[in-house]
Amino acid sequence: MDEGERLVLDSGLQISVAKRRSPLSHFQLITPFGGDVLRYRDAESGEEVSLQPGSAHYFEHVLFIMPPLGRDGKPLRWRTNTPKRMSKLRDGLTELKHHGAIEVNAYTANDHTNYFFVTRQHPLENLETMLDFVFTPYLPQDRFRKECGTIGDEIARGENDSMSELFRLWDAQAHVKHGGRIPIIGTQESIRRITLDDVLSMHDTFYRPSNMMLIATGDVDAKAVADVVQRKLEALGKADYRPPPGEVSQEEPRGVVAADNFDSPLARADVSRKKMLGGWKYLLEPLSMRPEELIDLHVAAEIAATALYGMGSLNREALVRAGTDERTFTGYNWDFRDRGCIQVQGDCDDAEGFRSLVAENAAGLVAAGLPPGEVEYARNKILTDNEKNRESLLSFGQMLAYAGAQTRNPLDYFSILRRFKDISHGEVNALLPRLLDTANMTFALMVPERA
Amino acid sequence: MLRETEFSRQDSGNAAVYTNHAESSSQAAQLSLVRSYGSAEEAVRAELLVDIYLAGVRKGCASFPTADSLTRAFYMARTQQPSVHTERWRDMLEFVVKVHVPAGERGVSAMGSAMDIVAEMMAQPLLRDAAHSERILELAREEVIRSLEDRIQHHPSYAYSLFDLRYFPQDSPLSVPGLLDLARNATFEDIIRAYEGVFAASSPVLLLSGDSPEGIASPVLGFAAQSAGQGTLPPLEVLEMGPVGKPVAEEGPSEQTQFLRAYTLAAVPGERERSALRLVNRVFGGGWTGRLMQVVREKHHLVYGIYSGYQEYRNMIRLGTEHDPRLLGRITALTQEIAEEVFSGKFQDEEFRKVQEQAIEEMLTARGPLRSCDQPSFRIDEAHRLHVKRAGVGLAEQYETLTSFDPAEARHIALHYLSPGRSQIFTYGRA
Repeated sequence: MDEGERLVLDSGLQISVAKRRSPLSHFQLITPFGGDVLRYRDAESGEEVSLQPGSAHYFEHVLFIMPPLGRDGKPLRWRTNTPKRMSKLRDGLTELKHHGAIEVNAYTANDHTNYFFVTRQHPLENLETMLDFVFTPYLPQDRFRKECGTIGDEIARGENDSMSELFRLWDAQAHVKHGGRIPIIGTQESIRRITLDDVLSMHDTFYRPSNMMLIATGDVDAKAVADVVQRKLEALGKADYRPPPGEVSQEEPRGVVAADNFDSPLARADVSRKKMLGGWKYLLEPLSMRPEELIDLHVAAEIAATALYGMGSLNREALVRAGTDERTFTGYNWDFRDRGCIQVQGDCDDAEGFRSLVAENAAGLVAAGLPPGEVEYARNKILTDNEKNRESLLSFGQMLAYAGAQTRNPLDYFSILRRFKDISHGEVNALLPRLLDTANMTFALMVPERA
Repeated sequence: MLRETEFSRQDSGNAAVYTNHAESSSQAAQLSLVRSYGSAEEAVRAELLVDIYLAGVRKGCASFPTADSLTRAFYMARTQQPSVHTERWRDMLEFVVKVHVPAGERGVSAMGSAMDIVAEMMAQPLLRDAAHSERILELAREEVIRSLEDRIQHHPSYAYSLFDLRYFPQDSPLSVPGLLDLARNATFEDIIRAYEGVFAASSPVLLLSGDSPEGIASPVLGFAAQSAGQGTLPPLEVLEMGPVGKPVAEEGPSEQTQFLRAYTLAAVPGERERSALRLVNRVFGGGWTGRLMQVVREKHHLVYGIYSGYQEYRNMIRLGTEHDPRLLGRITALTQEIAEEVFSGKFQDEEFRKVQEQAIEEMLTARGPLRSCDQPSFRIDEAHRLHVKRAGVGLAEQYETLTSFDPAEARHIALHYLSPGRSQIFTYGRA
């Protein structure tokens, strides 16, 4: 597999290009500023700064806003980027759609925010448009405040979904200090506390080129992409290097807020059966760990989750024989820059019984180690699924984005793939105590309201 | 590019075989066994019973006696478990086997291994073994019951199913509670009879796309030979909703109001008119750049998302959103204002040209996840629409039509078929 090439511009912007046979090309512009980031170290002053929950996501919503054009249809230079009000605003999403882009969007994850588009036509011109709106915040004050309404409805939609609420509850139980304890989107209260000044400061901090990654996949040429980006950064006055913000440790301790909520479970009128979400958080230290160590922990966590609870594993089969609900019992892992988790979920009538079974089973495997055949099975399953997912250019690009958020180099996706192929079962087992630490385990129960 | 998505037909035995050559890293095969049940209600009942049967089949067979061991067998052969499932439209029920393998010889070999396991799983399921059948049947029944209950708990999709039940009983004749009753009361014999019935008079259609379609065909054709039926599938006909009336509100535990609004067409349009209405729907609310999103979300900031879709085979444009219950009046008024403008042709030529260009460009991809027209899975889905469901025309022909419109003709068609006064509001949520 051709793995692509990586360039770093003078400004510090990383460009990763993975050419693939496709009629389309896919561009992603990423900042490692995600929902988990609630503190950072200012690059100039060296001081630690706190952020309101939901800040990264709020920003993602408003960054598409673009200023109106002049009468001649060309961009004007505005006296201020934050007028009190402004009509005839443009938005980057519409601009790209009207210039041939097929898919345009952005998302905020726990450890990054990603602006992207897929196009067949005008790939480099469309890239310039995306660079324009991402690197130049144009935020009329009235428009900025109104976005609260849209995000408020997005929060309400999440609260109206029972499984989203169960996941939110698990995160709140598992994390003591880490930003992961609060939803990426924030809360109705926190988003109203985000000010325009905050957002402008965040842009200056997290959206400087030295802190960002551009990923281009599909029908793309690395040199042509780099030339366009360099010219655009020069035009925007952002071609010089300014140091990125400092990452700070979230100082998340070992242990959880609560081992369970069985005494006061989440009660909902819209569920008909008891549902459990349990699992372990695990912590990574990207500031002190080498990239190879980070990759090994990510790889071992996915193999462990698949071998323990993935469909087809002998351990899952044993847990079903022992009484878990075969129809709904499943498990997986989530992986972010400085934390992750291995989770199990399923319908359950007996919450204590479910927890005992899962906890004792995991403790036994930590002590005895996963058998070689189970690591092999997990390896096969992960690589087969990965090969299928890679066929979609969008999915392939997003896998590079997630790898980039974890290690700061999107092309580490290929190192991760290689590691899935050659990590030994002994190496996986050596990391199990760190991944399945009983002190980091918590269970969240959801029940029908009338039960 | 769109011409390259086309399939050629060469029948084998009683199966219609459609083949497409694709230079891709993967290959795909889909076998569809399709039959008519005479009425949608009969087809819905049969589908539910066959779904219970298939849930039972997935619990294991003689060589792989658990669901986990079956899944494991596929992955150890380096393939994902093929999808064996049913699909239904109107009175037609389709039994589907869908397999996805890598390109080249590796894919041919994987297809052979995967279909060997599928053949055994279908021929000797534990569900048919007297020592296990009772236990497996109850597991399978409970699985289907839980999936039906989950449908009720997902508020947006449940609102759509309530709408369909009320306004399109000719396509959606049974409620989810009705299906639950059916699942609870089905006997083993009912389930076996339904499963065997789906093969009895089915028309087998095999769709193949990849770099060696002939190589991946034979293991699937062996399975198709079980079906006794043969014949031409009927084209999909357009259904019409009855007369619209006062807003209807269904009560349920959704804290947000699920808001649906259908604008019915004055008559059933022809293919050219349908293409124009697809574009008018895009102006109305068919995506981010549509008026619904631009006005209700981007101007007034009332909702996170609001979209409309032209339901060609239900002869209506239907919009959907969910919102704070206190906003019902504003959402009702705003959607009506937008409909009044767009349906009376009040859109700029430039606005129309832009959605026209978008529509043409988006023909190259399909969503869920995003796939491009060079990929076998994209091509198989298109061929399924054309040769199994028999809905609409090919992409190349669609392209020709889409490019030929000018805004004046689209306005004329909108005025003829759409009326803002002919709408039905349906809401679901807390009273």
